[in-house]
Amino acid sequence: MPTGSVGQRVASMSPATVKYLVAGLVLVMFVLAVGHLYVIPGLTSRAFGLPLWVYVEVVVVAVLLVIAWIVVQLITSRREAVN
Amino acid sequence: MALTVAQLVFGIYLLFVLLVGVYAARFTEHTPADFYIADRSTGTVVLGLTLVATVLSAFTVFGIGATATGTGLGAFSFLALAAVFYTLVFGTVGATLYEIGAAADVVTPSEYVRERYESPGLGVLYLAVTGIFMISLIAGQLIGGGIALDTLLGIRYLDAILLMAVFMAVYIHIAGYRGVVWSDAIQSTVLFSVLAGVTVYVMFGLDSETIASEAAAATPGLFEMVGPVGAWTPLAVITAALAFTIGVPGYPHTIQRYFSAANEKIMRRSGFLFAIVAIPIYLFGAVLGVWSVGVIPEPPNPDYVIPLFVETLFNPLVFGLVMAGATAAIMSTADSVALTMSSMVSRDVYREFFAPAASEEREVRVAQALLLAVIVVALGLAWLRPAGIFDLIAFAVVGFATTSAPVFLGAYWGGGTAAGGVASLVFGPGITILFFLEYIPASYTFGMHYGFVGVLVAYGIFVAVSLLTRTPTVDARETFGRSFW
Repeated sequence: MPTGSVGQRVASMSPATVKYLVAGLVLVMFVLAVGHLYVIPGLTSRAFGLPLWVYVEVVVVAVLLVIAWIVVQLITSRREAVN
Repeated sequence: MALTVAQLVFGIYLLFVLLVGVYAARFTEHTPADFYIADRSTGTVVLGLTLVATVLSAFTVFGIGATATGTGLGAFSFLALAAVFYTLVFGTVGATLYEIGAAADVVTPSEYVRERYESPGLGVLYLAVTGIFMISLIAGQLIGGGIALDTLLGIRYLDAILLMAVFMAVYIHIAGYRGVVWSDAIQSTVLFSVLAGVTVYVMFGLDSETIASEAAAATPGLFEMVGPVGAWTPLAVITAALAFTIGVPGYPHTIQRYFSAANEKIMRRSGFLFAIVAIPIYLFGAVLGVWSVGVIPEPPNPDYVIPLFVETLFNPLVFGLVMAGATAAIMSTADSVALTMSSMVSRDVYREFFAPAASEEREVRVAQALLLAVIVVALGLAWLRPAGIFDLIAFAVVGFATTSAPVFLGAYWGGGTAAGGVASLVFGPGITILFFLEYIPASYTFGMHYGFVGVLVAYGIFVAVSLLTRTPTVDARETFGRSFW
C-alpha cells in the first residue's frame, strides 16, 4: 500500500488510473454544474431577502471548488511524478 | 467650490493608490522582466488579488447590477460557475505557461505566440487582434468610470476620464507591473470589503425581506433563477460560463500574470484565491442589483443602480467608498491592460522588427512611452464614446475568448501550426464581431451564448487548419510546449 503524501500516493498510481480519476471528477463537476441548474430553481421562498436557490447554489459552487482543487492537485502530482 | 464628503473620500482613495505606486517604484528596475512581470516574484496573495482586480472591471460593479435588475439573479449563476472553471485553467494552463515562461524567458503573450510557432507575423497578428479588444476594454472602463463620476459625484465627464487616466499613467509609468499589482491588491480588497459591508448591512441591518418583496412586486420573476425575461436558462448559463472560461483566463493581461508568478504552486493557489474572493463579489453585485429594484423601481440610469441604491440608503461616506471601490475596479483593469499592451508592442514590434540590438533599458523606456500612447488613444475613444460602456466591454471579453486557441492549445498540442493560429485569429474574432454587430442573426447561436459560438469556431478552425499544415520545428514545440500529464 502506498504511504506518505498525496503527491507520493498519486505518483504510485498508474497514469491511466490518474487520468480516469481526473476525467471522472471533471464529469462529476460538469454534471453537478449543469444538474443543479435544473433541480434548484423551484426553491423560490426567501430568507433574508434572497431566494433559497441562491443559498443552495453557493453550497454547490463551494463543492465544485473543492473538486476543482482535487483535480488540479491530481494533475500536478502526476506531472511532478513524471518529471 | 466645496467638496462633498463622497468626493473627498474618492479623492483620498486616488491619492492613496498613487502613493502605493510611488512606493512600489522604489523597488522597480528598468529591465523588461522586472517592469513587465516584477521579475517573476509575485506571491500567492498579490497574484490572486491582482487576478481579481484585473478580471473584475466596471462590468462587475455597474454591469452586474444593471444586468441583474433586468434579467434577475441568474447572472450570478453563470459568473460563479465560470469562476470555478477558471481555477481549472489557472491551475493547469496557467501553471504550464508559468513553467514555459520561466524556462524560456518569455515575458509577454505575443512573444510566446511568436516563439512557439516560430512566426513573427503570427505574434504581430495576435497583438493586433487582441490590441483591438484591449483598447476597447480600456476605453470602456474609462467611459464607465467617467459617466459614473459625472452622474454620481458631480465630476465633469472629461475631467473624470482625465483624472483616472493621469493617475493610472503615473503609477504604471514609474512602477511598472509591481505598481500595478500592488495597487490591484488594494483595489480588490477595497472592492470586496465595500460590497460585502453594504450587502451584509442590508441583509441583516435593514428590512431586506421588505426590500426584496417590493422588488419582486415591481418586477415579477426577478428572484427566479431563469429571471423575469427568461434569460438564464440552464443552456444559456452553462454556455456563457464556458465562453467566459476560455475568455477570461485567455486575456493577454491574464496570461502575463501567469508569467509573473514566483513558482507553479503560487500560480495554482492564486487561482483558487481568485475564486474565493471573486465569487462573493459577483454575488454581492447581483444581489444589490435585484434589491435596488425594491428601493429605486425606476432608476434614472439603470447602469448605475448599485451606487444609486447605496446613495439612497447609506450616508455619503459609504457612498464615497462605493464610488472608490467602483473606480478601483475600473482602474485596476485598465492599468493591467495598458501595461500588457505597451509591453507587447515594445518587445514584440519595436525590439523584434526595428531595434533588435536595443538595450533592455531602452526597451522599457519605449514601453513607458507606448504606455502613454495607449492611454491617450483609449482616452480619445472614451472622449468620442463610439459605443456604450457595456457594449465595448462585452465586445472585448468575448473577443479575447476567441484569441486564446494558439496560446492554450499551443502549450499542449504539438500539432498546432502558425497557419492554424492565423486562421483562428481571423475567423474566431470575425464571427464573434459579426454576431455582436448583428450581421449574423442571433438565431444562429441556437440558444447558446454568441461568444461561445465564436470560441467553437476559433478552436475548431485552429485544429482543422493545423492538421492540414506544417508544424514548427521539434525544438520550438518542445521548448514552448508541455505534456498535459
